[in-house]
Amino acid sequence: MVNMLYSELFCQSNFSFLCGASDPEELVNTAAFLNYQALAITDECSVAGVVRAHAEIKRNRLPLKLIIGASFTLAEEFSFLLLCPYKQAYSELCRIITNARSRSPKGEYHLAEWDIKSVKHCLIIWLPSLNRDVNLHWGKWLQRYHSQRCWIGVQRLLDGQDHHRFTICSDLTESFSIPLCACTGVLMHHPKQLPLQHILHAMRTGSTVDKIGIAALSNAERALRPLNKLRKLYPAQWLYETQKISELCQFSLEELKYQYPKELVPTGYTATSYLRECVEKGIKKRFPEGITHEVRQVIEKELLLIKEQAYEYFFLTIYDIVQFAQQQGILYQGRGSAANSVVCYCLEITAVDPRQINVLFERFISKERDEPPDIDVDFEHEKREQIIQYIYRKYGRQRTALAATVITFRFRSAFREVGKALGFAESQLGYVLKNINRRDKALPWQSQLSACGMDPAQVKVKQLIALVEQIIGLPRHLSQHVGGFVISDGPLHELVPTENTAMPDRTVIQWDKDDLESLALLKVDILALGMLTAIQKSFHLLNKQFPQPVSIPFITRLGDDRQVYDMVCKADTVGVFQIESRAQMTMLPRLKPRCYYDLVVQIAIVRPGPIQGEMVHPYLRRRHQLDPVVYPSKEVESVLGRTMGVPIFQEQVIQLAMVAAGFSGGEADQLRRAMASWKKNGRLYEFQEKVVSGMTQRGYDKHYANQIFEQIKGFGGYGFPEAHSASFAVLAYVSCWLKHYFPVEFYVGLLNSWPMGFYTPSQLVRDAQQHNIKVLPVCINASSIEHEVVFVQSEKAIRLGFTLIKGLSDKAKDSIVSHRPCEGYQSLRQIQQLSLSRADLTALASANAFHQLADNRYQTRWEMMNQEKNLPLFANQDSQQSFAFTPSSLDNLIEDYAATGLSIEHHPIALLANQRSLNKYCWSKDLSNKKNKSLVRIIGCVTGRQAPGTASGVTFLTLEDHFGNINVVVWQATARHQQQPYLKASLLQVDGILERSPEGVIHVIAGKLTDRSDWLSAINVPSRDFH
Amino acid sequence: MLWLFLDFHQLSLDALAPILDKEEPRPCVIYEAEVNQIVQCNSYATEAGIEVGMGMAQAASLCSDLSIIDYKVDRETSHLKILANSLYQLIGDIVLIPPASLALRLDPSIRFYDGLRPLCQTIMNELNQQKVNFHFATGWSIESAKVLAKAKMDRILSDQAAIHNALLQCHLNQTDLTTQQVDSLARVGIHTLQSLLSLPTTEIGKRFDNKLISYLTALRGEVFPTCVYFHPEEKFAETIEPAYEISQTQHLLPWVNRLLNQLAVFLRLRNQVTASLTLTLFFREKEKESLQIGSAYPLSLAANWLPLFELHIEKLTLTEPVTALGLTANQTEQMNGHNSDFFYHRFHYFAKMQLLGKLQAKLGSDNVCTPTFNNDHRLEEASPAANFPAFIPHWHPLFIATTPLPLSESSQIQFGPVRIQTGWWDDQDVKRDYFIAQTSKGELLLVYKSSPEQQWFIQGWYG
Repeated sequence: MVNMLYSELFCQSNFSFLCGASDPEELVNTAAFLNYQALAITDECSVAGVVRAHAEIKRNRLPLKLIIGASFTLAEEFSFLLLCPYKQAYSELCRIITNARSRSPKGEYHLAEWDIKSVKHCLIIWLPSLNRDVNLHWGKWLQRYHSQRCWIGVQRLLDGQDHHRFTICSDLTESFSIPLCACTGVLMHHPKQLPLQHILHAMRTGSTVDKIGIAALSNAERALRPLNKLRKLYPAQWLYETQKISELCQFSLEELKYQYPKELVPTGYTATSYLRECVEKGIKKRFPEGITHEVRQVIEKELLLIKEQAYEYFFLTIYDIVQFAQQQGILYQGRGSAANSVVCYCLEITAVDPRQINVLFERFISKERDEPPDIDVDFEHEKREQIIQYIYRKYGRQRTALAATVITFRFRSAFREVGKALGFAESQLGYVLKNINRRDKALPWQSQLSACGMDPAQVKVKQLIALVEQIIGLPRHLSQHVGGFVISDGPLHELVPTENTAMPDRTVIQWDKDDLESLALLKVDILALGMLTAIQKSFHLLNKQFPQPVSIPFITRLGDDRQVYDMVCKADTVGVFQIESRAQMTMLPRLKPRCYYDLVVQIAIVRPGPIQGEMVHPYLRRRHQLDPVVYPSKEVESVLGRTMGVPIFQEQVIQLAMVAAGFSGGEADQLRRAMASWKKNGRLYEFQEKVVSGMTQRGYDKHYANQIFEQIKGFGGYGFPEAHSASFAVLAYVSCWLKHYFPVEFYVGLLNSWPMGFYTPSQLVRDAQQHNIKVLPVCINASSIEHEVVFVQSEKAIRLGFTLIKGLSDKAKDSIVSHRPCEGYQSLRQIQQLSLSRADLTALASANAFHQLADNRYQTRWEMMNQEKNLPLFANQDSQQSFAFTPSSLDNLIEDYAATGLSIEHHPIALLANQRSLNKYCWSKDLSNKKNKSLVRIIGCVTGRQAPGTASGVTFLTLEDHFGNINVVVWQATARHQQQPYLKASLLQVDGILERSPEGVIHVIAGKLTDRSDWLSAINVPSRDFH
Repeated sequence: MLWLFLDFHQLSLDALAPILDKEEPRPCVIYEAEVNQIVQCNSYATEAGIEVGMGMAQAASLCSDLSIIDYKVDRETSHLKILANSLYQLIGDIVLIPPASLALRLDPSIRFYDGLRPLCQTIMNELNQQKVNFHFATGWSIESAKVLAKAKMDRILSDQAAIHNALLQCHLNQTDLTTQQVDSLARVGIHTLQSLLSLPTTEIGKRFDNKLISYLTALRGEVFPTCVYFHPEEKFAETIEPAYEISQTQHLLPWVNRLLNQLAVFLRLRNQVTASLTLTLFFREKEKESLQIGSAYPLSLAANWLPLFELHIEKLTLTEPVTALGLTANQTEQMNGHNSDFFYHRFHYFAKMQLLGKLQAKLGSDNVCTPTFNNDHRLEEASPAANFPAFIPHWHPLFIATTPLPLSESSQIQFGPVRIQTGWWDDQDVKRDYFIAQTSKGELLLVYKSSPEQQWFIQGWYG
């Protein structure tokens, strides 16, 4: 028999959410393996899966044509496919999907008859129903409007309906002269996916697999089937017809070319000339003293590269956005592969002075690797919306949308939903989920099930395990990317369909950032960063005091400041950017950063990548000259020279693969993507052989090669690029500089930007007090809405603002400040006359904001609770004398926390020390005088419990006493044996061993834990649990 | 007036004790998912450090072997009624305060018992027999007794001054004030009833609503109570919700027995008997099912009814686990009644049952069936559809053999194949190609070829 050619025209991937059971990659690989000529991915009203299929075909050079299409159902009776023969048809398909999606809430679509009537380019494959009358109606309709581009798709599924379907379709083709073609309606790449498909079906219908009954697939025929089987199932003519259709479909995603918005370039300019002009303008601003020959050379080289890659519009788009931010006084900072170029410095996209850091642009935009430039711009978190609205205003909603993020099944959702679909009780699943410790590396979750009452020998439990493993990573739905905008010259829906998001007035395209990258489409990341808000607020405070405006470039231009780094080395970094976490603070005295680049390393090193790749210790040993810095070759030195031979950054391992293992640019790019998504698909292992053999062939020893691969693996999913670290380091340094030289302004800026960062206002205020800064309470006559810098006997101090008071309305804050007489409020009655609500008045009273006017906050609150006082008739009545409750110090402390979340006068431990003898305890300030390895007894409020994934089984507790914080390490065994105090205590006594590292970092290794919460049971000190 | 307040603080656990006690002793909690709180815990759970009021995450992390039962108001209320019924034999003035409290007015009954102590002792004895845990206290109003019971007073006080002093010590948390009111008062330093009652009512009135003022008045016993006293039901209808879903019929019996015992108490108190009961089984998703169980003559004792129920229950097949059981007495009659016509109205039912019984005796019970629709691709699976399905595959035969028979005569394939490949979830997976075949006699059969024996089997016949 002659070779039969077949193209499958009806195939849904798992981007037809909760229906398709195979991913696009599996589908194209199997279709190619089965010798299909072409495969149409026709997800329901979606093209979300096509880019992955396209990229997989390209990556594996599969001999398979990808047809772009989608399936639709109109009014629950007319089902059909649209396939794209050429580019106009693709734009048409995108338009139809966009229209159908825009009429419905997120995740749904509503097709109108007009949508299909207007089809001019797409091919239509009609999938007739089993209802004769309905078919007659749509047959006539199709004959009338689309007779030239229509086929009837016939499915043979061995489900008992085949005969019926064949008869119907044959009658229809006779009646309407529409040709027949074979199709399957693939939902699985292989029959073995059937259980998964049943599970997805049960999830979709909110049922269980044993109850879907005859609505479920009755067999696995909706898989990709071998050609010889298809030959037996269909007449040859119908199979041949698929090939004819496939030949008509010549459209490839490669044809999509992104058009930047043209309006960015003024008339009379080309993009290149305009970019140059902007750069030249920037040079004058950034380098007022003129530029050196070297810098000029770098700029020229970068501009040339940009021109060759045609990236001018990309830079100009971001330039335009940051210009707007500048006009509005919004602080921002660019980061990413291209952001740290001199061109970006001149365009004021970033403040990283290229003279300070020798980061070569070429290393980031690589012509050879042909990867798009990556620039993310962080804006003040409170003002990002202004930027987003500007983009919408400037380009219009038709041309702007957010990139999608594909939400996939994670362990928890997979376990819960698969369990439900298999018929497990929800309470049982909830209980198991709460008891499974996913961080226990010794005992994987599968083995922990028996301890939670699920017998792993039971068939159902086995099925649960297998299906959960299978479903993790499967797409669940589309969500919006945090800030990745796609902006185009023409209507965006001609390029890719858009759909609604859960947020009103936002639209999202159907592709995620990897898809955009695969097609070399560019997105602009508009992100929000709390620290920028805090820094900007601090700058405003400084600029009110000094004639010289303080800004990020101003600070970076001053160069590395010894005193600032002294502070950093002491880990005195509460509140600063990035290097404030407990892990970072433990590392600072060990790494001892002394210059900007050290900070870049510091930020990147305390990450799961370097920690799991075991790079921290080698780096520290080399840095402190305990180990020699050696390089196996010149090439490796060129890559790892700046980090002493230890790879710290993601870019370095990719460069290593190129210089040491001989990866081509394209291969290196694939490696980078595999690293980014290896937790999802484990594709990274495909590179192991290539890395190791490539390196050994080039003369590196096998041990070193394996070690490099292990490090690459360590970076998988957690890689932190130098480009981002470099930008973060600028903000880290600026915040440290502010904290060192202008601490009051720094704390005020920070407190006014809260919520952000790692610490609560209570912890920040305590840190300020420990730096001998006077903190003044909220006061009805002295406070403003926000926290302020004030002078007390010519010393700067912090005056807490009304914003700290819980439950106080914005209207009340405004009213108090705007109506405040010059001499201040003299009586409570004056304030009552402001017609504030009772909730506002009592909140003020409890926060003791009236302390100038009345000294008993209980009595004041009681007064404010009186509703009759608001009535004019009772206004002049004297307050009654019957109330006789006065708060004690402890009561005051409780009220401070309840009303404002912090207390500036009292600390629970200090109060305790007044009440009972605590001589046996060692305070945080005295720990440094204790001998290493000595036994200590400490006590404190538990303010943090952290169990980082990188430290197996260890929990880090932070105890706070009235002098500061103590770091406690609790080993898993200790925690298990003393579970009650470990989990329940808010006031904890720890008997343990003091451990001091050579750099002076102190930890207490917990031995005995004692819950002392009953001593202060009423005080609710907020604890941040298990991040 | 003197009221006794009984607070059954772990009524759910007590109600479920007959079942829980049969299991291995282990920590067990009652959990209210809506507020994410443990509301009751047994002694093992308390030992593990679990406390009432904790969230599920903390409780689960403290104890890995925790048995969790969902809190259900209905379960508690129905058990509370049982307690009220049993106390009704001793004292008439009972106020039901669902879900888990009773207030008993003592003063009218004291004289029947020759004093307060004997009365209270009798009540305690009855409650001990019921095996329930509770806190109690006395007061001059329901409200005052309730506060003291919540404060776990567990003493009988009759002296007004003593009650007054005890009340003053109570924390506002133990009163009926809303959490919001308690918080609001705590924020001005008022934590106890003593502090609150020291303030003039007019001043409190300026700050709180009338409800709070009325409550305080009731607490002081200054108003006459308006309450509805408990009256036992006229008709017996009780429902039990076991803690676990029951999927095997034999596990239904202990619960049925318990219902029958309640029925016996009910009938005994009224000197009644009944000849017809309805047992209703409730399911999570499926419609409830009712079984009519009749006796040839009226009965009252559980021991007499139970064998009849056993017979009916063993014939049952549970397609879905049972979540609750209900028992209703359809008609009761006085013990001494001469009801000779009690077959009246039930003639048809018995006639049908008699016919079925005869058929089953003659043909064997397996050979007498009623038609059902099968909602499973696997033909031999008996899983009747809850609702009549939207479509019935037209190739399904009218008669299906649950055990396929070998095909022994030559036949011709007329239709097929229909491939069935499913059922992986319950270990009864099948992969078969079905065909419709016609025998030489013209009989239409649904057949398939088994692998690996390559033997043809008949699965069904077309009418």
